[in-house]
Amino acid sequence: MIDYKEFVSKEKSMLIAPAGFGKTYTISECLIHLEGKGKQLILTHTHSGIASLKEKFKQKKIHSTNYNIETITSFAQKYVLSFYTGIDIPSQENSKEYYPFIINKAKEIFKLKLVKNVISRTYSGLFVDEYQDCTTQQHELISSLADLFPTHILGDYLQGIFGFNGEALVDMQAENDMLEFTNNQYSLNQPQRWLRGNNSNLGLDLKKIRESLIKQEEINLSEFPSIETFTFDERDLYIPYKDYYKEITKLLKEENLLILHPDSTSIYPRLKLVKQFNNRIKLIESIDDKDFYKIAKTADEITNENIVSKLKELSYKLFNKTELDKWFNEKGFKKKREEKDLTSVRHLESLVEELKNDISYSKISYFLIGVKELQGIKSHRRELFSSFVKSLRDADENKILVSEAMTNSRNLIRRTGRKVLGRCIGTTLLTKGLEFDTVAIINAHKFKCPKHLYVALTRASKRLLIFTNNVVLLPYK
Amino acid sequence: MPYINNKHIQLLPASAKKSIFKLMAKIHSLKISNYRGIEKLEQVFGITDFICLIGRGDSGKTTILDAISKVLSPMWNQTFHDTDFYNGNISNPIEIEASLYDLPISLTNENKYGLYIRGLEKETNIIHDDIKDDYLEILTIKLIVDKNLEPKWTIVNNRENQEEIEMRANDRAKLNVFLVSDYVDKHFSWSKGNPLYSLLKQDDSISEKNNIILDAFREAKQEIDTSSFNHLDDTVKKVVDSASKLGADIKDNTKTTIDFKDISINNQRISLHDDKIPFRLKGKGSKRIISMAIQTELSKLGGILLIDEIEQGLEPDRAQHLAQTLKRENKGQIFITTHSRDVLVELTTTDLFRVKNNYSKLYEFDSSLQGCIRSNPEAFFSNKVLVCEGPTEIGFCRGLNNYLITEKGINSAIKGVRFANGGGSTQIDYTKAFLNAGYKVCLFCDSDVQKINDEKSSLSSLGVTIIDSDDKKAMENHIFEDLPWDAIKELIEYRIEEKDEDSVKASINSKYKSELGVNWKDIDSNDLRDAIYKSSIVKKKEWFKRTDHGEVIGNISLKYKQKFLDKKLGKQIDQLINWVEND
Repeated sequence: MIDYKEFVSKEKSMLIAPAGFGKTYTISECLIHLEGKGKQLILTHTHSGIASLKEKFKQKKIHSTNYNIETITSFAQKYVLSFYTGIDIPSQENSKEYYPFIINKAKEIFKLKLVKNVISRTYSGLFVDEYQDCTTQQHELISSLADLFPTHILGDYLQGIFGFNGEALVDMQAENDMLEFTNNQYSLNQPQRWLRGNNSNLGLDLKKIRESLIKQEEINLSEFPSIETFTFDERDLYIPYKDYYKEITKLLKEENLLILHPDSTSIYPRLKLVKQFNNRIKLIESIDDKDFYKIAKTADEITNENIVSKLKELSYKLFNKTELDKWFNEKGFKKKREEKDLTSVRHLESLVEELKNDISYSKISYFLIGVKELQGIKSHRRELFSSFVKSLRDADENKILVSEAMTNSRNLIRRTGRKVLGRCIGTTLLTKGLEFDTVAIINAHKFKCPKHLYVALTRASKRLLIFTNNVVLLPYK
Repeated sequence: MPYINNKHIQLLPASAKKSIFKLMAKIHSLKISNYRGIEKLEQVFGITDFICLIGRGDSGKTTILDAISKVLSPMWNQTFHDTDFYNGNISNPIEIEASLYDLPISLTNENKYGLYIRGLEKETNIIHDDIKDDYLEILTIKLIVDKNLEPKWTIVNNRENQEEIEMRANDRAKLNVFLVSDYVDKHFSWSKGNPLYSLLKQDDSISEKNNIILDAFREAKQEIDTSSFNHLDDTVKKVVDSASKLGADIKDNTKTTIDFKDISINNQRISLHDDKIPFRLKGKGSKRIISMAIQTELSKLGGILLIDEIEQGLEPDRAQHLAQTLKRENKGQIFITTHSRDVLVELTTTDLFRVKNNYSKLYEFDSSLQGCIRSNPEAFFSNKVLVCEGPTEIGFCRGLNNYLITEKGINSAIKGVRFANGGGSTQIDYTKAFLNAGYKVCLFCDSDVQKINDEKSSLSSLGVTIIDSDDKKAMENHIFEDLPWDAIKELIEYRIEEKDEDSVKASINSKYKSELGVNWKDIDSNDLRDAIYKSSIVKKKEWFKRTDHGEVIGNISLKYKQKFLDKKLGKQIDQLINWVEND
């Protein structure tokens, strides 16, 4: 607990809030303190962040006239699209150039007196959540807003792993960058999430580990009884009679499970596990994964002439190769004996004939669904498959390119956030900010960065399992 | 505008808070397309609180005020007809665009139209979409009416990446724009959107939620409810009985009272009365004065007041007083139109904008005409100005006008001509200023001052018609050289009537080579003409130099018009008639 009144009374203040220590709660308490004193601007990074803050404000019956909540990007975008007179704004699909452009121009626009007037007329104060995720550019932008009204930033430098576009992130510990914020520093000390969730031991253990991570000490997992630790050889994960494999199999009974893989750079190790456990785990896809756009582009290239080869190409992108080989040959479909298989193939062949005369995205989607239903065919990337089918139909209905439909659908997810249910596999970058009942960190010894390990550990709200080849973790290099 | 932070406002005492929030918008510039008689008009008024539109009838003054009242209308809807389109051509939409400054803070925050502000560069009066630091805040409101006759109000700018946004009636109401025209009756009612209601809202203790008008009405309704409508009872009984036969029992509670429905929506019926007589039944002048009184109160707090023909229904002195008061006490912005010289003399040249048919801009007036407003206000209301050297020339032209009326059945007013006293040395400046203000100008002058002669050719090349004397001569030279002797005799008689025969004769004699005889008036000679001329221009004892005397010269000259056609004065008369009639 901190003194909210004091915290908000400072012109500039900073709150260090470890994961699960009640940051959302603190923001809502601050708003209650400021009720009737003008509208507060609340900025964060993700749409899921907005959703969870809004949810809390609703619970606390804070009327929406007291605040406006947006992502930093959308706030900046609003002003840039309003005031920028140039015509050189990159297209939004080109996210690598678009977002830095917006932040850069917004920085200039927020320096104009007339624009400052508009902002300071509208708001009486600013809160920025998840400050550790600010790029250095965003930090500069917030700094100029901070001249207009009292500004309070909240975050946790130990969770600063957002590396969007590979841009540099702000260093909340650097006094030279944070200036006055450093002078009014507050911090939250109680692991509220676990204390409330009847799992206080895990909460206290995570707090101790946090302190060790900050001090760059070694972490001996045997000292933390609330964490289920297993020391296994990495290779055993892929050998069904080994304990590593068996323990993971046991976990697949959990209703809400996240398996965390330490490798964020490549999707293949995770895909391999999805296959290994026979599609019982769902792959969490990155919103910006290029495969989504690539497959949409392939669909846009389809003509009456290349339709047959393109359908095959699409199938191999979506389904398991070994099984597809049993159905396709060079010219088309292999001959099948069984009546059931024959019917399926005939149905698909007639769709292909129709498509040769008349390209229809909807019919392409029927074809792919037909393929998926063939004996033995599986899609290890269920989200890729369903997004693609949806985009094909959207493109058909609204007479747009499949790539456009795909961009729209990915942007929609980016904006509205998504719920990850059931059993899935992901990385720290993909699950940051999310919470799961049970979390299993595999090959934990492979974490080379204390921030990533901390994010991984704190995703679990009830049960945390760590699989490692060494009970002592040293995630510093 | 001062740099005001929301935080600062929070800290202010209530009274100061009020005045900041009451900041009222003013019009910087206006664009009109295809509205009534105006095909296209673009006018920058600049940073100014008082604007007076002048121009001949049907030049579009009222249309401009109407256009302003429409684009800034507080009503959620406005009725348009096919006849409101220029030339009745409904395929070109009506577009009215007003750019405003000094905007109320409640309109320029981010949730309203703050993201749509533009910047005014004060030095050049240009509105920019690319904002720089020292610019003044501007919002541009646009009204479009297309052939469906549905008005649409939006906030616009020319920034590439920004879509226009609709402007709601509630927000337009914050601009407090009111038009005083012939139809002022509604100004006496307490309806929302009317000035009385706005005035009521200025009182802090009365919030919109707490509608005291409606409350008063509820009380009144209770009174009506309890009173009996006895004389209606028989009719009501018939209905009740009949209903009861048909199976509906409404006996117990049936009574006559007023239906609250109509009133709750519209307070139009609650209005000012003089004892029992509603103000709307009062005389036109009084109604306008009361209406303006209400609005003057409003204008002390800001807002845009539009008054069409400010002098209408008022005595000249009351019109003048009204103009004076409005100009002095106004805290907002006032647009008036006038045809009254009495109003005009209260104003300065920078207040004036001249409307002319089919011109895409209003004419502005050079400050050199300031003196002219006081001396020749009438000239400003004409199309054509005849700048005269002095009072003699003005009078002469009046005589000419008398001739036109009796002999030709036309007059200068019909032809839109006004005479202005050039005041000798200032006549060149006046001529130029009137020319720049879009008037057709003729300069009627002497040729005895070299400095003025030097300017004539350049004026002439700018389109000014110059009617002047022969080189080095003045009007008086030509009068005594060119008129037939009978006419000169009439002039002498006129002078004698003014003075007495002896002194007139003595004065002429002093300029004559020998002694004048008894019948001196009967013999025409060049020497005598010269002596009379010299006598007529003796300093402080001039025969003419007054408008009324000039008019006599004009009357007499025109009487003998046929007899000196070939002389200079005869030619001048022809030129003048020609210019009045045709040019």
